[in-house]
This record gives sequence, C-alpha cells and structure tokens, in this order.
Amino acid sequence: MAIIEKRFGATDGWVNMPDGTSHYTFGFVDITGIPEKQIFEYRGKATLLAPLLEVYQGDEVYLTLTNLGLPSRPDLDDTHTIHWHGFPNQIPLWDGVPEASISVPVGRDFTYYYKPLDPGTYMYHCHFEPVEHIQMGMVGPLIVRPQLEKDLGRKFAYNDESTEFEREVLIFLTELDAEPHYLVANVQEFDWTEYSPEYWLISGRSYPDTVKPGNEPTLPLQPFSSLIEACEGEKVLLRFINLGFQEHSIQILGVPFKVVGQDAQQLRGYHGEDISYWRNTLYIGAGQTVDAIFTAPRLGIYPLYSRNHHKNTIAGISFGGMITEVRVLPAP
Amino acid sequence: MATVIKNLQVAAGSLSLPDKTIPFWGFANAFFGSPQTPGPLIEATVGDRLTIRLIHNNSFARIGEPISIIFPGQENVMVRKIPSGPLIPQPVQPQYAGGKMISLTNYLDENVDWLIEYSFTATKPGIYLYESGTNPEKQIQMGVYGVIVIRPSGYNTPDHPNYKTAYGAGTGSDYDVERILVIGEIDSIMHNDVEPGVYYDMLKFKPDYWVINGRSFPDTLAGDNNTSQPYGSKISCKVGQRVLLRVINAGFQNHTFYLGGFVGRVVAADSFPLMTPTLDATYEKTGVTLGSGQSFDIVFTPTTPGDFYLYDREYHHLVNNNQFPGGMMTKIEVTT
Amino acid sequence: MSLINLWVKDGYLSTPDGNSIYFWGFSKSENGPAQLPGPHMVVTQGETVTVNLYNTLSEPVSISFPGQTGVTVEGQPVQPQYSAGRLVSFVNHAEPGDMVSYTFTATHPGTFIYESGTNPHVQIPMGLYGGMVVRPADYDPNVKEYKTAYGTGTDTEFDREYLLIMGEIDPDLHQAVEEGRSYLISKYMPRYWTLNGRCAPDTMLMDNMDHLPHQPYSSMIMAQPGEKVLIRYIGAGIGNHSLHPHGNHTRIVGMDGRLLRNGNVDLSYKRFTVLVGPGQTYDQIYQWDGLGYTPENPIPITLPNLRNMGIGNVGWTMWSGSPYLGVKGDIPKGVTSFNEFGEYYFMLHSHKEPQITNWGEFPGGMMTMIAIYPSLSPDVGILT
Repeated sequence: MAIIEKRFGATDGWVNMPDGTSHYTFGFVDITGIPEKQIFEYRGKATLLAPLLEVYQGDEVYLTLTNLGLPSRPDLDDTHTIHWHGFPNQIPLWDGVPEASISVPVGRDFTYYYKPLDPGTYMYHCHFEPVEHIQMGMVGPLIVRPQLEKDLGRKFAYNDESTEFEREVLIFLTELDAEPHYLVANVQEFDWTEYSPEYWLISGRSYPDTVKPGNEPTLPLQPFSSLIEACEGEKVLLRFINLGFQEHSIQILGVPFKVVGQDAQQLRGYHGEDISYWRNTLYIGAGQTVDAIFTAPRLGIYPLYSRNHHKNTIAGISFGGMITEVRVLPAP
Repeated sequence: MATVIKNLQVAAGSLSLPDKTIPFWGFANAFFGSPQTPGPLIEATVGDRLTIRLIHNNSFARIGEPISIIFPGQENVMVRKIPSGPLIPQPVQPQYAGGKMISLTNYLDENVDWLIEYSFTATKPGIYLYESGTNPEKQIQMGVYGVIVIRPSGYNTPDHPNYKTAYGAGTGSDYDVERILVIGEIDSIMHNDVEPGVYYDMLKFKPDYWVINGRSFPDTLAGDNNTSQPYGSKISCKVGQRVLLRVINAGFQNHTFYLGGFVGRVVAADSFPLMTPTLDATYEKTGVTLGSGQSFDIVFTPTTPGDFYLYDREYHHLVNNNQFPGGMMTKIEVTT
Repeated sequence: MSLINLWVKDGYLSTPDGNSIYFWGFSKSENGPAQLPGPHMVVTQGETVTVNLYNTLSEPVSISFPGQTGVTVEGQPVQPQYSAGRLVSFVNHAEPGDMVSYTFTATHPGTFIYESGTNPHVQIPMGLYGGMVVRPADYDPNVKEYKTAYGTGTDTEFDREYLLIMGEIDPDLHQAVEEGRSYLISKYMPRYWTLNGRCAPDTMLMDNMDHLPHQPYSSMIMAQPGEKVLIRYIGAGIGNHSLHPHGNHTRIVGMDGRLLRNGNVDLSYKRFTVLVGPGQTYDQIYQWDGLGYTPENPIPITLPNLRNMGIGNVGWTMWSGSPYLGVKGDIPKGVTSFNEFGEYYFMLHSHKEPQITNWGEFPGGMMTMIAIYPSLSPDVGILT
C-alpha cells in the first residue's frame, strides 16, 4: 500500500470548441511537486477534465487542495472543495460539502485524506454551489484499481478475473451551456432553471476534437483524448462517468457491451450472484458511472455516439459533440 | 437457414397526425410500396442471412440527401455498392470528408449509385432498429427508422420448445399475444422546415407530438392499414393470456412506458434475455424508462376483463396540440 | 381491512424563496388542508383497502393505483371514463361534488404511488399524488427479523425508514389553473423541484411545521451509525431525478413494489446514484458505518485553524467543527452552527444540479440531509 501525495490547485481557464469559440471555466490543475514560489504560475490553467486521480485500493491518499483564485474574476472569492463522489462511509470533514464541513478560501490549503477500499470508477468535483462549479468545469475522473492487478500482474476492473481487460479509456460525459460561462466571465447571474446546453462533451472535448491526441496543441487545457484504439480480439474497458446534468444514451455501432460494474460496485448480487449483463445501449444518469467491457471486433472503425442524436451537434451549426471512434488495429 | 432479402427505398411523403398533416421521410418497400414510418417490418429467424438493399429511388419524391442504414445490435455487417463499389462485400465503415465523420456507415448517393446492399447473419433473437446512419439527427427524426424482429428457430412450429417464444425455451418469453411498440417523438415544425442537404439546427428540436408506431393517440387504436403509418398498436387479448410487449425507443428522448394497471415482468433488455441457464434476472415493473435506442420485452397476464391504457408516464406527452388525450398512448382490450 | 377517506381540494404551497403557489391536493379530512404529497397510506399485505375519494374541485378526479391489480369500483373492475367519446379518466372518477370508492387487496409488500388518473398532464403536476406503503404480512416492528420491507428471509430488515416523494413545479401552470386561464403544456418548465412537497432548505425541517400547513412531511433522514435505514423513493413528477446520497451507497432491494429476488437468486445491487424515473419506486437500504476515527484514534491530518477556512457558505453551517462524531469543535465567530450533538450531516440530492435550486438559486430544490447521530431515540424514523 503506497502513500500518494497530490496537490491540486483550484483556478480558472478557457476551453475551446470545434467551432472556434472559447469558454470561460473553473477547474483544477495538478500542482503536485511544484515549488511554493511557482504555484501561482498555474493560475488560469485549470484543465477540463480536472487531473485524473488514479490509485490502488488500500493506498493512503493525501490530496491537498490549494485555492489559487480566479485571475479572470479577481473579484470573485468563492471557496472550493473536493467531493469524492461515492466514497463509502466518508466522514463530513473529507466529503467536501461546504454546508456540512470545510471549504477552502482563496490562498488557503486543505488536505483531504482517503484510504479507498472498493475498486471501481468514481468521479470528483467541487461541491461549492455545485450547480455553478460543476457546470463551470470543476469535474474530474477517479479510478481505484483492484489489488488483483498487483497479485496477478494483469489488468482488472474489480477483484475478479472475469473483469480482465487489456486496454481502458475514460468516457467522461458532460454538457456545456455557453450562456452561464459567458455570464460568469462577465460578472452576471444565470437562472439555472434555464439550463440549455449547446455543446455535448466526452472528456472535455466535442467531436472531432475527441479523437485528437491528448497533447493536441490547439487544446492546451483539454488534455484528454477519448480515441479508443485496440487490437482485434483485445478486451477494452470503457469507464463511463456522467457528470453532466442530463441522461445520455451511448452506443458503439456493431459492438455490444458487457456491463461489469456500476457506481464503483462490481455487479454481484447479495449472495455473490453474477448479475453482470449485456447491452447495446448504455443509458447513464447524472452522477452515475458504468464499467463496460467490449471485445475489439474485426479491423475497422466503429463510431461511439450518443443515441440522443439531437445532441450530436456543435452549437446547432454542424455535426459533432458526444462522439468518438473505436479504431481496431491488427494484432501485433 | 434462409436468406431474407428486403429491397427498400427512402422517399419523402406525407404523415398524418390527429389534427394536421406534415412532411416526412421514410423507408418504402422498393418499387411497389410507398414511404412509411416505421419502415416495413423485417422478420427473420436466427441463422438467416439478411440482405437489405437501399435502391436508387426513381419512383417517389427523393429526400435529396445521401441515405444509409445502420443496424444497432447487429455485428459484422457487410456492405457492397453498385456501381461505385466496393463491389465485393466488405465490413461497413463510417464515412469521412475532410477528416471528419459525415456518415456512421457507407451510404448511397442517389446521384451516383444504383444500389447499396447491407448483409449480416441473424445471430440473436430480439427486436432491433434499422435506421438512418446519415444525418441521423435529421433523417431519423423525419421518420427513417424501422424494426427488425429476429425469431428463435422453431418459434412457429407447434410442439417445438421455442414455439411462441421471443427468445427460446427457458427464457420466460413465451407469449400468446405479441405487440411491437416503437415509441418516439415528432417535432412538427422541424418536419416542415428541414431542407435537403442543409444542416438543421438541432438546438431548436422541440417535439410536439409523441408516437407509438408512428401514430399519436387516438390514431394508435386504428388497425393496421396501407397508409404512411401502417402499424396500429391496440392490443386485444383474453383474460389469462400472456401478453408480450416489445417496446423499443426510436426517439431521441427518454420515455417511461407505463403499464397502467398492470405489473409486467421484464424478460429482455436490448434483446438480451434476462433469464439464462445460470441466472434468472427478470424483474417486475409497473413501467420502464427507455433511454434513446433501448428496448425492453415485457410479459404480463391480465386477470380481469376490461379496457386498460398503456402510456408514457411523462404525462405532458399525452397530448396532441396541447390537448389531452393524445400522444404516446394506446389501449389493451381484455375479454373473457 | 383499511378504510381511507380522501378529500380533493385546493390550497397554497410555500417555497423557501417566498413564493405562494396554488395547488390541488388530497386531504385526510373534510375540513383539513389539502396536502402535498397526499396522506401516506400505510397498509398490510393481504388487507382489503377501500379508498373513498370526495371531489370538491370543479372537474372530475380519480385515483389510479399503479402496482395494485384487481382494483374495483362498486364490485366491478375499474374502467376508463369517456365524455362524448373522448377519454377523460383512466379509471372511474368522481364528478365535482361527488365521491367514488375504490377497493383492492394489497397483494404485494413494497412502495407504491397513488395518483390522479384524470386529466393527468394537469392534475399530477398540480399535486394529486401520494405514496402508499404495503407492509409484508408478517411485519412486526418489535421483532428484528420481522421488521422488514418485504418479509422475513428477504434480507430487507431495517431499523428506521423514510419515504421521499419527488415532484416538480412549474408556477406558470399553477397560476393559469388558479386563474382559470388556458395553459400550453408544451411550455412546461419547472422552476422548483420538491421532496415530499417541499423545496430545500424546508425539506430539512420537521414534520407538521405550523408555517407549512399544506406540506406536512419532512425529508430529513436521521439514524445512528451502523443502522439499516430503509429509504423509499417515489418519482411522482414527470421528470427523471438522479438522487445521490453522500456518505455511502444504497442497496436497492425493490422496485415498483416488487422485491428484486427470484427464488433464491438475489438481484439487489448497490448504487451511489439512483435514477428515479417518473411513476417508479425504489426501496433501498442505506447504512453508514464510518471510518472508525475518534479522539482516541485520530485522523491522520492536522485540522487547520478554522478561522482560515470556509465554514458555512452564507453564515451558517450544519457542521460541529470537529472531525469526530459526537464531538463539538470551535466554530468561528460570526457563523451559526445548527449542529446540536456533534452529529454528521450528509447531503442527499439530485445530481441534475439545476434541480437543487429554487428558481435558479442554490441552495434549494430536491435536496435534503442524512443526519447520523451518536445516539437517537428509537421513535425517530417510523412511518405511519
């Protein structure tokens, strides 16, 4: 069991959509190991998604949140928190709900401590005025890897050999309504009951940006590619996280999914029954995660898309959005 | 193992709602049919080879866009196209222009091509959509979708263990009465406004009619006919009979199909039977929420005679032009 | 046998942002207030239940009982009602000033909705819905293995139970109905989301508050560590709600009043977010065991000086100021703490986050708290 020490800064940033627009965001940036004198160079560099937090079950995680402030909104002194969504038996101190414990003001630090015991796919986000701070981009993926990986030296979603896989990709679903982003940047209020997004994103990007590499220079603050590459016959684990405010129906054309886990729980009944199941469509609600494995079929490209086709749009002007590709390559 | 061949065309037509008529696009049986929504029901048995062709349309009003068919839930679909190729069947592939996907699968350009032919083997029983894979946000909403039902072998042979089952013996899917219910929604303004080849701003999508088998209540109660919406959805059965509802969501929104007074047993989801030799994962529900593209097979047995309504539990979808009753609703008549 | 009398009448709801909203609701008595949701019906499996509905509105009203089969009126199965060939009600209704009497046998234990079956796109959003709990035939609250949701041997024992009924409110619809104006349901746009008829923070107030005469039910969940808390959800609105409890997963043991079990095969499962669809119910067991920290087994970080931290978003907090259950710490001056005994608070809320606002303002809407107390009276968390 390792001791993991991480430090995330909370600040703001800007993200780019394929139609050439930029949108103001709040978010987190990884400042682990950065000398204290230099952390303020990371102001304004929040990424969408927030950094991946990936640990093993039993690790002791010390996660320090530093509120770096919002350089584009210096007047706004919102505090921030980290809420590990789905952490079993949490205590309020580390649950990140400002109304029920601590939040972090500008210029301050707070260290959250986690010793996760249950492997699976989780998410984290800021819980200060969550409707605003989540929509503004303070959302990140969280993976707890099972002990079985260390024991056997192979990859598993859970502590069960039936959940073995060769490759894994995060499919992190959110939406972006440009209006509140614009209003927040311009010091105005938004009526959240009018929420009506124009962009639908996988891991912070809208297609065709989703298939670009992680280090795409035109997307400096959107470092997550969701291109799925695998060799024929390989098992691929897709970790779906819905941290948008809508339900989403996802299909891969011609490829069924075996759902092995949901909400960071392997699909097992009360007496250990194997209740994993198959689907052609994954219907995922806000705040849910799904671990689904597919076997890479014959060579070719298989589109992964939202079946809510009206959302496969870039602000109503062209095809794009919650779409990516599975590219199956020849076995090496 | 038979070969099932279906020749289809896509054409523009006129769709009848309870209080108005709007343009629509739909599949037609090639040469002798007219466009309809849902498209012609395609039936096959496990092991059959399905060959489904989209044929260059000279008979009806063209929709004026490239057209294609995708088959969610089917694996290893092959395609060939005449004359622009591939002439020998190859795996279907999404199509690109300028590095960006423009179609989820190979398509037919009616200005160039005569025919595109998709083929696959029916491997799993169930109900599946076939639908447009080109400008799907527009073409599916305009009506370019239909249903494929794949039967287990022996489903029509009395004394066969699979007789009158949806998924074969031992799946809890035996039935006396079966009804396929394709649910969805229609934005009548969009139907009037779409232009061929022009991107439609889907942020404006705001459906105002909700349909079962392409019809809004009370049109749902009429029988099958030869109109552009040929499939009725009224159900008639006797007390004690097993009724199998096969509900599939072709719309873009979620819908909650509610059984009114009944409690049904969900026996399959996305055409994967929930009862297998190792596990009975069937469960009972008063209603099921279907995400876009999902399907559920539900069995129930009425115990008393009478009329009962089945409807979308999102009650604001039970209207036509804002007036109740209407929309996504049908009826089951139970007799002794 | 149970006899339940319900009067349908109108009244006014209040929201925490000061709005007063006309609504229709069920009342327990002829002279009592309409309430949202309608009175809880708690009956026992096998019982014959008769519900008399007295209609004081100016349009027909009925009640449908999804999940109950064999509902009769005057000895005949309920039937749809028509006027001039047009469907009015899914089941027999009471005309204005009239009454109708429904009878059924509650065959299955579980959680059920009851709701209007008439003009449903108006009457259900207006408030004509409620919850029904059917106790298993062998239910005995005084014997642990018989205090269950679905009967002994079904692994559904519980220590306390709470019923949360979800809804949403579009004030324009309510105002149009109040003023007798027409309303285009295509413009339906909720501005409030409710748990047991209330918006947060009113959800956390106790039952039967004087200033909420039409909204008698609290949504505060209270328990001790390690207790099994049965939480029953009913989606009574027409939207989908993604309910996420902090503190732990819930184990879903039943849906729509049916146990998730086939013979010996248990299909219950744990989730951290349950998507409650319209008209559907979920029975779940929540249990919070904690991480074992006490002043004697302290947390592995140093608690910062609380004056340097954000405590209380708007001048108040539910926190004790201490990391430990049952201990009170130093809340900075100027912040009011509603914490009494060092209890822990965990939020339970819709993760469709616009739904945790009151007309766009956070905090509000479909949100409540789960309070874990170091000790709690056994009288708390009983549904009657």
